[in-house]
Amino acid sequence: MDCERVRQKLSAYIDGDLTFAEKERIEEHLRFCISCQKEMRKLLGLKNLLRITYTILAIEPKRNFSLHWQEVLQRKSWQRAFLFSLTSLVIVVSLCGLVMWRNAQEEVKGLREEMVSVVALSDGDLDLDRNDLHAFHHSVKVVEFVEFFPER
Amino acid sequence: MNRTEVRSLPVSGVEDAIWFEQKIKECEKNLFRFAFHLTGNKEKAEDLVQETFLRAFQYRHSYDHTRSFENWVYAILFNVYRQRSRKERIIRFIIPWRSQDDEEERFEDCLEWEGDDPEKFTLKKQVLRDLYAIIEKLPTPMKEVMVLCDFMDYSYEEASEIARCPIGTVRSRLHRARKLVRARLEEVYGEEILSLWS
Ligand SMILES: [Zn+2]
Repeated sequence: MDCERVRQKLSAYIDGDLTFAEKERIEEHLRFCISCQKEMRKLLGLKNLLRITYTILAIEPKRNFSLHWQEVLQRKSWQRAFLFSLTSLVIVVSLCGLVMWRNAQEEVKGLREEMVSVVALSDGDLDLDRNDLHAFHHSVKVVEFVEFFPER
Repeated sequence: MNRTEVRSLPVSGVEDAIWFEQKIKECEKNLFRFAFHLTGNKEKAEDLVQETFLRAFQYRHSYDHTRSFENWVYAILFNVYRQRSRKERIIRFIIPWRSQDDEEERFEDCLEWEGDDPEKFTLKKQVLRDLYAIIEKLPTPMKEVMVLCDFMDYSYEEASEIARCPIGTVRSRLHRARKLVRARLEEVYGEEILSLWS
């Protein structure tokens, strides 16, 4: 076994995760290869360091979980209720919006019809094209339109 | 850690709850530590554990009583953690400035060391802090196996069961994770830093 392949397996070796044969071969190599020995010591160092990190961090939860979980269960149902009402609200609002939008559409349609009839009444000598109609049917009321173009 | 126990099935719902509470008390501290190492933050860890207990209670009937309760809960915690970090990643992607404000509580405050040499202690503390930062930045799958195998001292087999991935995956992820962590540490502190602990 060459150094490269040994190093590939060192990690598993220090965790005791190799087959007997593999372990034997690694140990045989380690017996004479100083640089791989060094490598293994470093890996062990890292493993120890990580282990120490876990044990010296004297962290404890601030609260008692077992006493709180029922409370949280309740909170969960509140959350669910809140989410439910929020969803309903959104649906209601969008429905209202839809209805209002339809109404507005109807109104605009009516307005346009009215306008067209006014144009027709003026015997077509106003010479309006489609763009003009489009431009004002949103904002200008028919009355204003009539006032703007008094009878000639 | 007590990992193997066999228990007969509880009957009623009340008994369920009592049994469950008692089980939780036995493993809540380990579970909290585990969550803390995954998240690197006390508050998040508490939330994670809380959510895990809730889910575990919800799915208590799926627990196989011939197996270890603790490992079963660990697997649930893992799942919750994965879902949350996915969500967080999405949030961070959409709102990039949000990641900064949850840096408040770092682990240094929890550090207690009964060391003799103050100079060495300072260095070791520094290394630990950096080590923690490095692990935090590891890709999630690597971090997971590192926390399981190196912090919690689980075998590859147990880790593969908890993380629900093949043993070979655990092995290669751990190998790469260690390689990465080591390279970063040696980059900062020199080649010999790890011999301090060997
Ligand atoms: Zn060698």
